Amino acid sequence: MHQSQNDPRQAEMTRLGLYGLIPFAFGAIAVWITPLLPDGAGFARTMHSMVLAYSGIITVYLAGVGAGGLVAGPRGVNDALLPNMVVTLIAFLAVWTNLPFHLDIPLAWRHAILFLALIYLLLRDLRAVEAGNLPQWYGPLRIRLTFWASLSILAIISKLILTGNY
Amino acid sequence: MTGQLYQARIQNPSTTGFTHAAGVLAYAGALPLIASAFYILVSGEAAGTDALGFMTIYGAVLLAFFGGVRWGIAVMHPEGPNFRHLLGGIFPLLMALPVFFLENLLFKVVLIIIALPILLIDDLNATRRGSGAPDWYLGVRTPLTALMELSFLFALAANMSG
Repeated sequence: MHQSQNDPRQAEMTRLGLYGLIPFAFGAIAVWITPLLPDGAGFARTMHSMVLAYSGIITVYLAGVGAGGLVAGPRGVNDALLPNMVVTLIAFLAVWTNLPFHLDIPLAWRHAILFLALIYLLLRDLRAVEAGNLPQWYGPLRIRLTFWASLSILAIISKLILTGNY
Repeated sequence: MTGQLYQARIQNPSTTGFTHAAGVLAYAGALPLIASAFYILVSGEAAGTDALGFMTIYGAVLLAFFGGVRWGIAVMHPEGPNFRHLLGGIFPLLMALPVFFLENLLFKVVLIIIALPILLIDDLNATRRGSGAPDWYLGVRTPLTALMELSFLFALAANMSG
């Protein structure tokens, strides 16, 4: 156990985490609202790309946090790093728009891949909390942040499906 | 876990559980950059620009991953992370984000070339102070960063002269 539930630093980190949700929320709202505005469709497309890149980079960052917990945690590092690296590669493929050999992943699927990666990382991090490779307070914070990020991504996916971009 | 035990553990590679497999995995992560740099050296200008674009996105992804690792290490500190540690974890993320949103390829490459050594030096200093990653981690990170940096420098030079 690293810190108590009432540690002021936990509140600080929760605040930082909530700031990190702003682009998700802003993107989801913009994707739904801006097409209703005159000339808003172009802006909505830009928001899709921005949220996709942001989701990808946050997914990679969270994979890194799990790896950092392994590096500093009591259980040590071995090939347990592999899933974190695989998720990093998957997130990279989801955000990289110039896939070779004429491969192309539709936008809705790219968001869906990142959504699944976020859920996988959440489950993995919750196991790491149990194993002592991440602090106890991290679990509830991750659940809360992943919930809101996932909700935003699902809102974007549903809009993409409704507009035939899948 | 007391602070002394934590220090002893992170400074003693035999207690970390670090294996050859982890080292191989870390170096495997740099392979796409090395392969792309080689491709740029032997290919034409247009294909080289595409490969350089790939390298910038991949480099930004690795920057974000390193930032996450810093954050993960910071929160595992027995006294808990201070604000400086947390900002240190977010800094690579902030360096990586512009790569996705800016148009200028040269600027993006230069940004990564600058960010990688800054990150490594800060990590080395943190370990020296006893508040950073274990020694073995930086034993892997240092040559890895050198490989990545060389790949970007070669790719940039080849692309500009091509």
